Amino acid sequence: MEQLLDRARSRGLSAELYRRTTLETVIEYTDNQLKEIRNSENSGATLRVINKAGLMGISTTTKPNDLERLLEHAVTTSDFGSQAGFDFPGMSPLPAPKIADLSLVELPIDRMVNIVTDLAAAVQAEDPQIQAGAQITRSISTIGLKNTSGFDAEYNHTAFVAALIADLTEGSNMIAVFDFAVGTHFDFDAEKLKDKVLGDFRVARVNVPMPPGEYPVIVSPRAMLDLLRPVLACLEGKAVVKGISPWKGRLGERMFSEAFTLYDDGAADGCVNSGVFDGEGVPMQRKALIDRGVPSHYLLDLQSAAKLGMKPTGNGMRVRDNTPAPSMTNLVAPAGEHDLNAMIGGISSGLLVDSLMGAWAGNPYTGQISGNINLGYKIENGRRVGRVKDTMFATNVFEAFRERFLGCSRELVRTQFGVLPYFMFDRANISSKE
Amino acid sequence: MEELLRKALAECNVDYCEVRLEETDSTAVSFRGPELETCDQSVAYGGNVRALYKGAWGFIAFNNTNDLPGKVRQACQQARILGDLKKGASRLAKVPPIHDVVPLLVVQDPRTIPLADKVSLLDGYNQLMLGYHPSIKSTWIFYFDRYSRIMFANTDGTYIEQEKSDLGCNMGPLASDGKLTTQRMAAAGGSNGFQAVVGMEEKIREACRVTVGLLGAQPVKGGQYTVVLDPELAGVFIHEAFGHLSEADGVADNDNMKKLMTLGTQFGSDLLNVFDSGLETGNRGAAKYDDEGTPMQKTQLIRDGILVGRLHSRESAGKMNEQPTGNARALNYRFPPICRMRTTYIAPGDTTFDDMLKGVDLGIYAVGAYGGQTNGEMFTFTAAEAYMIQDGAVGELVRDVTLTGNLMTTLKGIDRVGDDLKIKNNAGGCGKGFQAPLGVSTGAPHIRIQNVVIGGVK
Repeated sequence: MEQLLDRARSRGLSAELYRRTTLETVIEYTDNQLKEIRNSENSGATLRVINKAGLMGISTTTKPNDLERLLEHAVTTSDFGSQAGFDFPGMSPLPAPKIADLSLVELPIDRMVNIVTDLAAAVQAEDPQIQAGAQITRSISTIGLKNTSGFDAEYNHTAFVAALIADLTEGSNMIAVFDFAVGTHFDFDAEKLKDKVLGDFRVARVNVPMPPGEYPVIVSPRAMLDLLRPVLACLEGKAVVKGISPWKGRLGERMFSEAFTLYDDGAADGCVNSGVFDGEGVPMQRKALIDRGVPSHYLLDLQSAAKLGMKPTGNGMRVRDNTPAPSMTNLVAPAGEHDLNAMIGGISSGLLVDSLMGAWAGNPYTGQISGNINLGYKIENGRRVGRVKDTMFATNVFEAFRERFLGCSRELVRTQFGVLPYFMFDRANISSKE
Repeated sequence: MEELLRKALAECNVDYCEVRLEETDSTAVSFRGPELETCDQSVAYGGNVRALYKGAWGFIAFNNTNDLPGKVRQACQQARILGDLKKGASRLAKVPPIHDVVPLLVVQDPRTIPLADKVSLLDGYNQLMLGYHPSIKSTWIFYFDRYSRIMFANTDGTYIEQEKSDLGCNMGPLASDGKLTTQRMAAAGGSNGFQAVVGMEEKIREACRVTVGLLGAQPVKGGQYTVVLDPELAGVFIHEAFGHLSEADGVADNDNMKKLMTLGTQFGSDLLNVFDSGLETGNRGAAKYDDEGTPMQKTQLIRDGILVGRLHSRESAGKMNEQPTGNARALNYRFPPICRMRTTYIAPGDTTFDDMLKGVDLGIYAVGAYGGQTNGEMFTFTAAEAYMIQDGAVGELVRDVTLTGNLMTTLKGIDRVGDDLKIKNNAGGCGKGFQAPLGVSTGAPHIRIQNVVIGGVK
């Protein structure tokens, strides 16, 4: 491995070697039964080169000791690659987020089996008709990056995800209430997860009609990812470079309510998408995407930053096919003033949207999103009265954050996508059968 | 290789065990706007062992294949930890031991096409989109091809070597008038060679025409409509709305679901016939054996509106006393096989498209899909283009059309099935339990459905 960069250099190439090794253990309990232990030991190396003409080539292998082909593939693809427009970065001061937990590494399998069994038992105790499912995923990774500009660093990362689902089919009515606990550390509160799932399940067991119309809505942290997708798409560096994003050249312009602030924080303690450096050796960092209603930073990797004449933001993530591309890390929004219960309490007729289906589809640049409410609760006279089904939620996110945004909850929830509060809007469009 | 795998399995102390080794060479090329964005040639190499003991599985995936007997021991040990707690029964449906070597069956092997020719073909497509109309401001293209060699052995005595090809190409122009950005995709794909992505020009021109047209389209008014789906969208609909529910691993251990999914239950209108098949050569998802070594077949799921079949792995079939159907599929060596679809389609009926429009006073003709999702009972999908139907005629283009419904009522709402079945392939795929995107294809004729909820502006 170590000689690969030297060999690339001797052929007149700039080069970067990204390595990731992940050990993942999953314990799965489904349909009231222990089902499976899965272990995966996955290691791979990705070599990216910039040739003398400034063109990039890239290749990945998971085959041990297959370095010859790795270099040849990278060189071959560089003949057709895109103009880099940047140099690989050298060493710079790196952050030290808390993202690795030794106790998680040492967590024995039988303890993990006990945790899923205990979670599932709580659901089964509620009602034997309910199908309980629980899953734990523990992953331990080492990420290393070295390039011909002198960057050479490595860090460890751990993650723990516990999921609990209560699933009931009564006639043709299906209810699946689920929630997760996610983090880099083993700070898991099993009771909290059980209470959340069972509390939601008790409300969801009652179906209530939701006549079509416009209603005030509260959107849960996990459903907010669907609502924030248009915002992220407009800030994504490549879309900005190519002029696809309607926000090109519009940083600093007030677009939304002053109450709307959103960060991307790649160095947040405890968050699973945090790291020391991004997939290209740029320090992970916190930056405001929306600062009191004003778009403030794009999500940039080395290439999009160079093309825009801006500084990279540590968002060169290896999300797909190991090729770095600008992408969000952890979305973080400040807590609001009101308890969630107080927010619900203030609504005489409205909706709490907890999970949307299909809202990711469609064209993000219009801001229009439309999704089936997978899990949502009708609010009547200040309390959740039951589950809403066969109902579509539609809103224009840009309009919503400009004119309809009322604020956030005091509660913050850590999810796979960051740490967000509940968001409240004074109205959104609901369609359903009349 | 066979000897190596058999030796590794020799000392199993579980009810069932299998080992799989896989090497995949892949090429991916993408364009965004006028420039080529990424060009990647990669190798994925690894294996897995799956062991079953007293009804519980131990699974281990790895890149380093030097110590296969060690991996087998580890998987068996994990299965025994869970199995001893579970004390269940291991119930796998029987499949006769198979010994076979399946060579690559392709018309034009993607590996023989020089990278320069692939890039040049895609560049030509890109230029066609960029030059189509001044409002087309950008484009995107994603192309991939994969060649895999998979070796599989199990303790029932099966040994299979399969070579497989998979490829796809999705692309789209992006048009903008400064306020609105629109797009429509052109796609192709297949499992039998590079020719599947050659000659896409007509599809691309059509995608450009719609993309530009959408700039002048108004958002649809939300509400309840009679909807005519084109073959592409109807195919996505049957995959999402019904196909996932027919995957038997979600039924086998769930008494309530078993009740709901009892064979013989009326599920749709009596015009509805649905199949899933791994025999449709050339389509993504076709193969000779599934990832448990079960021979491929075509399975009827709905006959004249009545549920008659489901998609099985050996385990789901064993638990339900039914026959395995060849639908145990793993995305790659990193995952165990689970019940998945292949080519899922609605069989043709006898209604022409013109007859389908007759009698529709106010409806929507929804064409093509951006994507869809289901939670079992409810589904949602977004049309790529859509037109109002007024007084039996297709009218103006509308945008932001998302269709949603409840499976149980929607399948019964199908009141016309067209005579024009088309199977569609693209570069996307299906997702389930983190295994995505898995190559599948979908198909249907035009169909008409009553009372579909469309999300949209008031």
